[in-house]
Amino acid sequence: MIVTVGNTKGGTGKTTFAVQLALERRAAGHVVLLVDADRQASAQKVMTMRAETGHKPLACVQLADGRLLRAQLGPLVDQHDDTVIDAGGHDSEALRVAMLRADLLVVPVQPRGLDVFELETMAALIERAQDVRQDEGRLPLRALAALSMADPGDNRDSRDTLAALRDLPVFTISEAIVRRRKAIANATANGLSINEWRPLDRLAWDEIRQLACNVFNCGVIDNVNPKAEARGA
Amino acid sequence: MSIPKLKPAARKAEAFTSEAPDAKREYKLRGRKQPLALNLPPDLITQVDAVAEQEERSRSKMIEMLIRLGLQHWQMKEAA
Repeated sequence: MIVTVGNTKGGTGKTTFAVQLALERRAAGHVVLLVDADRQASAQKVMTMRAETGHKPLACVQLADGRLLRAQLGPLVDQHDDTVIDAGGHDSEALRVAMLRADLLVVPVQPRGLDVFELETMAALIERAQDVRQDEGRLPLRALAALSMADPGDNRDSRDTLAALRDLPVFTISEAIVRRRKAIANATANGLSINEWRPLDRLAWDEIRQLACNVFNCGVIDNVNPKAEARGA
Repeated sequence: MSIPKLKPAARKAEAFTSEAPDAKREYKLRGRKQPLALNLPPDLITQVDAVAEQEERSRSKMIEMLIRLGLQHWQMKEAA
């Protein structure tokens, strides 16, 4: 399964989602590749940090150039059960390529005004990608929007953002809400999964596990990779 | 000569990805010339290289000159 984590808005928690999803998926016994398709190379930096601190490395490559990503993704995907692509925080060729190839697009959304305004840009881009995928005979791209860095508890900003997402039918809304937690930020900055970070923050771990469950179950049930389907997988 | 042709669906995908603000164009024209991939028999290349060396010109310049001469010859034949 190919999961692209992307948003045209920067600073929404894409790398955090991508790194945590990749590590959580590997912990569940899958062979996972993390593709850093962002020129900032944040995912690659934290994965280097992970390897240098003696933790079991996670396969990670940087393919920030859209043409290179398109050329290299196929063979890499074939060697792994799941591929998680961290696509940059702006409209880029790599993000568009990743949207065309993904089985599922995860869109982290901060419950903030500026992030909500940008959702329409992202929705328009998804609609265009759907059009291209239809011509190529691919299944529609499922776009899963998940709140990221949300304030604690039930709050108006989160409710308003969820309401704005409901107005955009291209998005499926994730049940998981990832809140602003130091453990998630610190674990990611060190290239560690939330369950490897000490002291263990159980609430943070629950949120990430719920997100991973939403992401990978969505993909398996409703958006099967046509290539895998053709192989009888 | 081998210039790959994209299928319509691939062209649409290419248009979609290349419209991204950071996309690089595949072929950039330098001046008024355009790059071209050309497959030629090795014996022909050897002959072209020999003439190019004699004329103190590069292979590409020599191929260009020979194409121009060939075209002139063809046009004169057509006019006659």
